[in-house]
Amino acid sequence: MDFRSFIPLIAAVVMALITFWVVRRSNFSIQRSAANRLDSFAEQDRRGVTDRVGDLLVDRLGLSLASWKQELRWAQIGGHYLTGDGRPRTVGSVLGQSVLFGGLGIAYILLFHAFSPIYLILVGLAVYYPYLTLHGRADTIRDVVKRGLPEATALVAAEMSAGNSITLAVERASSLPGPVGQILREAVDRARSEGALLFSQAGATGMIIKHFSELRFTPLETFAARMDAVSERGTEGPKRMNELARDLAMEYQVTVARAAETLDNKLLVPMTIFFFVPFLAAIFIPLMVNIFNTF
Amino acid sequence: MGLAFVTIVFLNRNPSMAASVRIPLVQVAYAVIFLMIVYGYNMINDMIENAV
Repeated sequence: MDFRSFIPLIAAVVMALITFWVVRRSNFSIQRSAANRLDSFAEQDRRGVTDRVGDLLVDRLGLSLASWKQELRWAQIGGHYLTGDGRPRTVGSVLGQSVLFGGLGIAYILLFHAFSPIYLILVGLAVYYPYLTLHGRADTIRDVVKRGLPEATALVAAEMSAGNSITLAVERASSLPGPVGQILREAVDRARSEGALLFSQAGATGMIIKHFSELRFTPLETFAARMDAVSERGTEGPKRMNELARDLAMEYQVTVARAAETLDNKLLVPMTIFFFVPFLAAIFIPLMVNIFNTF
Repeated sequence: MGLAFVTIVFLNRNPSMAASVRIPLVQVAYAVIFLMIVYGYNMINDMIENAV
């Protein structure tokens, strides 16, 4: 049988498929040009390639990635992993980066036949790097929140001492710049949109406890529980809030003092790696080259 | 970083070492060394800032 007789048939099938694909993707509806542009703007997918790949994998494989989502949530509180128009990125964007880096690494190994363990380790590191960055950023934001809690508490205590209710005091504290203000803002906004109370009352859990416990960060949960307890104190509230502010300030001072004591030991390893070893390398590399050149 | 720079200048002016220092591989190594020092300086700075 002559294969060439099938060529027109195969070409016709391919052309039919291409035509079908083009027709399906085209929008032939007659509209005013401005409305058409507005429609396409609204429907436009503004995600990057890595975001799309990651989201596709999460959807298709049914991945949960709960810990990744939690870390992403913390990083986003600090203003990371947001799109150009300020919308939060999905966990797929981080996964997409891992897949992209891993894919590039594997492509390099296959193209250049670099089947050595060191390259495989490097590919593993490249795959892990996006999550490592995410975790690092989330950790930094958690530290900033921990450091910012005494200041926020002092502000709430000052507002309450001035005769304002604890709810109003928290609403005012939510205008604080930084991650603590952001978390308080989110809690206040959620309470408003869901019609819930900020603090527990008549058996209903307050939004502060609910929102803060979702973030799963012990100092924040303790802070929420203590503020919630203060809200039930009535006229004693301002006094209790001042005590809470003082306690947190003292805890912070103790933490800083402890950190300062151990700082020397903590700095020893990075100083050796980043200053001492490079300095020795700067001397020994040309010396070693000289020695090798003599043979 | 200053000390590393002075060492490199010293090696570069030394007649017996100058040829080795000017090899491209050594120059690349020096570039990596400087990048490492700058990165380390930033990292240590962040560690101190975060500690207090």
